[in-house]
Amino acid sequence: MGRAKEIIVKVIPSKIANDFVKKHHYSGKVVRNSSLHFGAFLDGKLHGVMSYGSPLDKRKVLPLVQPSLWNEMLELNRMAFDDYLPKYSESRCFSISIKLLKKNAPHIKWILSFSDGTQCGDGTIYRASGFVLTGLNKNTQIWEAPSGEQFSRMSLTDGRSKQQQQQAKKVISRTTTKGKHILENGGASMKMYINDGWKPKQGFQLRYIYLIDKTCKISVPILPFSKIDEMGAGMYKGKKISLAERQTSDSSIAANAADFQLAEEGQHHPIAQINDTKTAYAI
Amino acid sequence: MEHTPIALIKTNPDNPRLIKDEKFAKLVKSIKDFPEMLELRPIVVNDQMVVLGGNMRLKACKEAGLTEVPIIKASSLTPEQQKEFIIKDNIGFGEWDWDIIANEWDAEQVADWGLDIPGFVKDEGFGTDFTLPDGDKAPFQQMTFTLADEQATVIKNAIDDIKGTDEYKYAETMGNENSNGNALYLIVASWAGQRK
Repeated sequence: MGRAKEIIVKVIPSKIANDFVKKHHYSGKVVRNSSLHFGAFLDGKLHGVMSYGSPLDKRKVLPLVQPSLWNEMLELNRMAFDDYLPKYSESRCFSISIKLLKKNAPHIKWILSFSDGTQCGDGTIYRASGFVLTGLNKNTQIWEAPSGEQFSRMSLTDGRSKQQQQQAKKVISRTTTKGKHILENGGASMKMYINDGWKPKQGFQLRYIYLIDKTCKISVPILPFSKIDEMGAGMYKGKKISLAERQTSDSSIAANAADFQLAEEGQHHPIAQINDTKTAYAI
Repeated sequence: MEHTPIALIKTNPDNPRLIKDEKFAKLVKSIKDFPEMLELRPIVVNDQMVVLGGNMRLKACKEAGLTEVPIIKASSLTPEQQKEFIIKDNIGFGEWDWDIIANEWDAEQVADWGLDIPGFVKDEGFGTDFTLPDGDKAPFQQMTFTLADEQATVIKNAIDDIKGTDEYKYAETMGNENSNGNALYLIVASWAGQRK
């Protein structure tokens, strides 16, 4: 694990976390629901951020794990690390964040996270950190404007995100002359955006769950990681590549990752390979 | 340039510059660590010994325990020019090239000297404790509506009216402590009752 052991994880203010995420996360965007931010410090400086918060559609995801009350779960909705951090930093930091959650918020029973297989990755770090895969669907959530700018479906059709809707309206103004109805009324469905040339990003969305309270039950089927290759959903650092291809190219690193994870968690998890840690994960 | 007892110099009450505690501490440290700089960049005063340039440095010198400081008297400046000097002395016209700072300088050292480097966050002042709400969702919710001014006035008046009634006074609130919410509920429930 090397210098990853030297990383210190602390709670940091949202302003600092958000500035870091905007700079280092592949999306360049923060999640407005993020409320708990951990900073990863190495050599006295901030080099990584993990942001937890409530999911945007909590009612929908709450039944995924039972029993689970309203405030007993969090979504890991941003994870961004810079190039300074060594290998295995993400797994190490996630592990520490879980320890801090157990200490300060022992009522948190599970963590939800999504991996963006349209432009980032299929969740290598999540698998290495002990998450299980519970969802693997073709993307319908991330949409691309004719200009190439991207927005989440919810931000375009849900009135709650005024800021993103304003941004989307600016994009519509710049990229199309047909979007007057959207500019005036907002988009209640994606149909109007489709008519103006918007398309969903090609690729998959992967849903991962990590149980802190192992007595809880996941109420949806747990998918084998092999399903990622079966569906052609493999992606690493924004490039389509299967798990099998990665495994053959760097099996020794996979073994190291597995050893590290076992040592960190004190138990066995399904382990995927870690080839490099210099990419931000999550959507 | 001359050296003057620090007690003779007056801070300028009209100086529009502020300094935060953390920055002030860095300035004091800077003066202690690098006193030669003060010799090369003296405090500028007018003939009445009021500071035109270096108000913060003067305060920091006092804090650092200096009894004498180098000064330059700007005797030739008119009162208007003195005002102009105070502002212009504090304007930063240039921009920092953060790439050069990051690559050619010791960023930690530069931050220690007092320069705010964007994105450079030190492992100081942060902890590991936090709290999160627990239990189930609170059985309350907020609703937002857009109303025309005339509509809003009607609703406000109705809420005020019902708050003066016994019906409101003895109503079941279901644990809600928001008086407007309770009043609005009574109005709507009353309307719904009449519709039945």
